[in-house]
Amino acid sequence: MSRPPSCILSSILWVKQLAIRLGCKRPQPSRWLSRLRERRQSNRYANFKLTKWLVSGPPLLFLLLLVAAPGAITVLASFRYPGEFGGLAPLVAADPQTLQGVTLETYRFFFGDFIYAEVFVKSLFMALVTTLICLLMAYPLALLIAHSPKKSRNPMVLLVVLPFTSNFLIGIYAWMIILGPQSALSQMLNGMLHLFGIAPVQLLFSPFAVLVALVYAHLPFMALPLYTNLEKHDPALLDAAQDLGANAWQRFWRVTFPLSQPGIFAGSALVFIPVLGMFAIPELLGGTGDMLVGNLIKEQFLGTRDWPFGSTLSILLTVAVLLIVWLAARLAGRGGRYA
Amino acid sequence: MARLELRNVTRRFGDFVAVDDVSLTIESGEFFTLLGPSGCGKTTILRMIAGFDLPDAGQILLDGQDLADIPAEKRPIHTVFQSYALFPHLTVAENIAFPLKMAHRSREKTHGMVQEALEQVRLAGKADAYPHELSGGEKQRVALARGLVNRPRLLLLDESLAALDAKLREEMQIELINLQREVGITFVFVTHAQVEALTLSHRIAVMNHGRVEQVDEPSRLYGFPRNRFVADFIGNINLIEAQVTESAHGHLRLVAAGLGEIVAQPLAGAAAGDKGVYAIRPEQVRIGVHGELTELKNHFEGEVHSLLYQGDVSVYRVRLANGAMIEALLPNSAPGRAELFEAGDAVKVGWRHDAGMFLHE
Repeated sequence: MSRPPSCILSSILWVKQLAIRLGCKRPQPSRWLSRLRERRQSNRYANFKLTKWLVSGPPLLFLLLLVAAPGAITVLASFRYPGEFGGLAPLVAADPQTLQGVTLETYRFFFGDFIYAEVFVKSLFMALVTTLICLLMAYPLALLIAHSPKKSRNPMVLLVVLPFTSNFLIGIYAWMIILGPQSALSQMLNGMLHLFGIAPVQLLFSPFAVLVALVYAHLPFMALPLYTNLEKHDPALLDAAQDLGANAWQRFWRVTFPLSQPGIFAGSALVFIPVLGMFAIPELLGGTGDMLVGNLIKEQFLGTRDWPFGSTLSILLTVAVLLIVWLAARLAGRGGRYA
Repeated sequence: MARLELRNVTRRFGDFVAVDDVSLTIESGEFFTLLGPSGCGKTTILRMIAGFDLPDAGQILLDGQDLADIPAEKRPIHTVFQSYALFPHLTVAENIAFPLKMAHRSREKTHGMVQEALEQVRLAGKADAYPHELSGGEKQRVALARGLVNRPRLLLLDESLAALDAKLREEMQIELINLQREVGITFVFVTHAQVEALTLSHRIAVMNHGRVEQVDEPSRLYGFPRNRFVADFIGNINLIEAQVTESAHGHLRLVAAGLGEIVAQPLAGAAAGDKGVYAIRPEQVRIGVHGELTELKNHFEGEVHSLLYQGDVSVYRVRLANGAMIEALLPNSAPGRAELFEAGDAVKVGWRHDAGMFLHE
């Protein structure tokens, strides 16, 4: 049996409903009607699916075009040869003798020389130290904000994100001045060191300067997720812990800290991952020996113009980050089975 | 087992006096309830006993020892919170073990005590569950087990049954009574639910505006409220403005608004001319048809104004010939019959002369 299109059915149903509402017709249980209603339900579901695509489509497209596609291109590029004047060597050459196709050369190059692995390890270490310092500095700050009266919390959060209102590079240049040899800080420090007979130190262009700027740039990314987590804690839990015999340290260590693990994890990821890819700070504030993976990659694309090797480094960095995040998530998951 | 004493305890928040010169003695092994409407100061008292708050004046003594200088974590007093406050990152067993860990009990002893506590609240099978996997009643039992496991000298319960639905609450009430009898620890319970207080307690302190209005056993509190507030707060009651006309041995004569002359329970200290209210519980009022109830000293003609059918009982509101409205509560005990009278029926209401009482304002 062929059925009329659903739009006609629903308009019939609508008219019938209207008639019932207006009192012209008494509602009657009819099999035809109930079947129609079922059909309309399934139409509603179809509409819901359409809405879902309409809503999530644009961002999905955005991600596909600007993340997935470039990622795929990078993967492919890492298996190619560099072009004579930068870029990639052509896959189709006029002279078959000179044709360079697909290769694992860049990977062999990376694993063949210890120097690149060293940059990776140093970068990971730098990112780890930055993350730890950010955590140690942001935790008390987040705790302070979360335990402040409700009225003053938002102004305090505003102060935390205030550095975002000025350009990131301007902040870095400010650090160049603060840490520079002519700055009051350097003069005072070296004057004090002189009193104790210690040779003057240079603050700028050192791993210290890089670390200071990395922490400065990433502290809000640690503080905000921590604060959002701590703010949600039920204060009754601390009362209960105290009531059951826990002193201030035990209340922190046994209640607040374990409950804040999701915040610690989120904040750490938001600091650790960008620091690994950071190149501006080491370039401006670091010495010649303070190159990080980010600098190395940037150098491949803009300096030596070896795109395939730059792509390889990018991919290896991504793989390393994913591996670390996966490991951390597993470790954090062990303590966070509760909802 | 401990005797708790509050001596002239006062607590102010700015201009607001939350607790106003309260003195109470809670005996060892007693199930004591602080009952009152919200804002009457009962929770403030509980927080001061637990150590989360300090009195501005007065003393709190546990077995004669002043608690003022002992911080909450060092007091041998545990609390069952209204929200249960179970640690969401710990299992049921770990939650119950928490106070034992804080008291540095040995691992073996902790394990044994946790098992015992779990069995006591019938949750042995749920030891490894997390709080979010439990039902409301189970959470309640974990909170109880956690509060009791380290044998505090006093257990405080803050509106502990309020979050449960009616049926479960009744079940937990019975469990709570049994548990208290079993462990013999002094319980101090805070609630605004008067039925719950009557069911559970050995003694109840009724509070209002930071003051204790009356401390008594449940049956005495219900049967012999000391003043209008207590009478009105505990259970339902008919309150009618009245004035004493004659106070003698064995009886008290009053003139009540809308009722006229009435005989009430004798009251020491009542003198002719005193003004107050005449109070009569709805279940003491009987309803009959014309010609009945004449044997009662207080009986009046009236008409059924409205009725509330409640299943086991019905509440009839009867308008008397002289204008007063009286509530009567009748059990629906006759098989198959739900309503004995209908709205508009001409009836007679009456009660024994010793059923009603006179209360000073």
